[in-house]
Amino acid sequence: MIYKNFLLPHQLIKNDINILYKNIGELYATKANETPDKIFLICPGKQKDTFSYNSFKNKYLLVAKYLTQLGLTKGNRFNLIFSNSPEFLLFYFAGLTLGITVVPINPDIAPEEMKYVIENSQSKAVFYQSELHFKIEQIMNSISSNVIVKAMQHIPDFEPLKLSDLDVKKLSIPEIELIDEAVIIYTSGTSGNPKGVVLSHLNLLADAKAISEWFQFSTETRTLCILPLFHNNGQITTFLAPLYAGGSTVIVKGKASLISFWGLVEKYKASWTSVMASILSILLSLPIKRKDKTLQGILCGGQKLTKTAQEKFESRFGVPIFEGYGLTETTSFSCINNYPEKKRKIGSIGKPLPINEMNILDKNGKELGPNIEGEICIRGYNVACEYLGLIEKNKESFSNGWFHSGDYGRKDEDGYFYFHGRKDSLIIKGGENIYPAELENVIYKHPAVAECAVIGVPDQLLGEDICAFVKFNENTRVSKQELKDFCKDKIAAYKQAKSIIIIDELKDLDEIPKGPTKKILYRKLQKYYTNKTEI
Amino acid sequence: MNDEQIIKKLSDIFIDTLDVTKFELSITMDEIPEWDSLKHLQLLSSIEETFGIEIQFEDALEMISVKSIMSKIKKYVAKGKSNDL
Repeated sequence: MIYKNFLLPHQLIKNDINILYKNIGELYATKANETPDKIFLICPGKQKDTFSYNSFKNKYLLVAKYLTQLGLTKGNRFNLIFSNSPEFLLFYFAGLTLGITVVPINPDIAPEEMKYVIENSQSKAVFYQSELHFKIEQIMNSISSNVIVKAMQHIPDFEPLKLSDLDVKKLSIPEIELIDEAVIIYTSGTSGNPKGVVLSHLNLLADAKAISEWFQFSTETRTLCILPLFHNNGQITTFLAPLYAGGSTVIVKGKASLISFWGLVEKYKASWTSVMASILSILLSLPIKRKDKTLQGILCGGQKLTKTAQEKFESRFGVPIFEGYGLTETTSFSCINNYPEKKRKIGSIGKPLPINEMNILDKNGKELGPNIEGEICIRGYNVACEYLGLIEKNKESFSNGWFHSGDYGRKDEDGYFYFHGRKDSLIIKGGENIYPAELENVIYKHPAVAECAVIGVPDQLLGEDICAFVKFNENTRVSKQELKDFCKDKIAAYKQAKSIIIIDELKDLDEIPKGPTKKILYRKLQKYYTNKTEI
Repeated sequence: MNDEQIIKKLSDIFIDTLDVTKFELSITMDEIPEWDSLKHLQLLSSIEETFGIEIQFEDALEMISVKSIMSKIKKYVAKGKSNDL
């Protein structure tokens, strides 16, 4: 039973949900006691690592001991800069078992962006895979000397596993409550700096339980994890949800190669996976046939899924897609289409999970009736505690007992929700959220640039890609390539512009369109781009 | 096809697909920011097309550095040759 007195107003709902565990460590330990020899994790590759529930627990407890030896204790935070790997997960479960907050960092972002997250999260330690040393060494001297920074080799040379099993016996596990901080995930911010979304053990457990029960996961469930673990979709749907049911996960190390997708499903008998819509488009573009008989369904969210793509995919591969919707702020999915497949309403993002309530509100916070467009608002056990240290943003986004998503949509007479788009100018490229300001702030640093605006433009595979409009200072000009090169080391590759349009070269646009308050009119710019490319 | 010919073709594929200016045998997927999942897929597809090979999924999982890609291509090319005989 959840003690509602401890919950925040935007986490309270009418439903009573019974969560059996107080924290993620307790969930894992319980499952490991029930089925110690059952497979928990398979990591295919040159060096194939397979872990039973018990062997993985023994290993993450060694990592926990390692963390305590470094002086980390409950209430501390550490950053984890790893691609998908068993090492990421060992640190993840070790941290959560000790009540230390795990703050993952996308290994693809630029060193300066990493530094921002390290400092903003006030982490006591940074653990990174040794291949990323060329990035960390660029910021090493500017990180506070109080922060422990450690490069990590992969298994079998993974330093924490060199501790003796005897050390684990001396490990003391603290009391960790449901509402204690568990993970902070950084997500794109309107100002250009990312926001840290603070998630508790309750958030993780509630979403994992909901997904697990919605799709009737069991001890036989085996998920294929191809989404990055530094985002929560990968963590929840393909890890914690099967764990909640005592199932197992196949994790593709590093950056997933989709050429291997169907081969992995077949070889390891995966029954579920979770993807972004762009992955479905890529799989459709490959001449690879499905051979397995085990895949029961694919969860899809993070990007708008077109009806055509869904129909094409399902008719070619014969696997049902369950479209849903969620944000970092709702831990993972907050609504999804019903299971089994016959109960789906194609084109909708489904119905709210029992752990949260959803509504469509107008700008005054008034509930709107069926099929009237408004803001999608959510409250419940999976809704984040807050944005780290952002008082004003917290007041704006978590208000009147709701989390205001900034997305607009509608619900129909049957209670199914539909996603229409963003209220702001957020670009969603292959499932990654990018605010224009992130790239604009970098482009503005170029001395030749007088004005710039960044928009999302349609892309067949990624959903959206990035286009930058640039206006130069008088009598100054640089090439598009020079501008691209200028941005290269300052921002992650996936946030860079695919195309640059130089306003000075256009005959029908003199400057970036702006409103009366000089705010950039992104939609007008998008309309201009669409008209231009349609000609 | 000898090593030099493979390197030349591979270098062209890398520079073209990843939009990078230099190609070195020592580079790995983690070190090149432009080498993301989508580019990786395009890279492997171009390799299949250029070398006339079909990469098996287990091999694809290991092709995460120029060295490992080189070694896999050599394996496929040699296999193709023996099949042709």
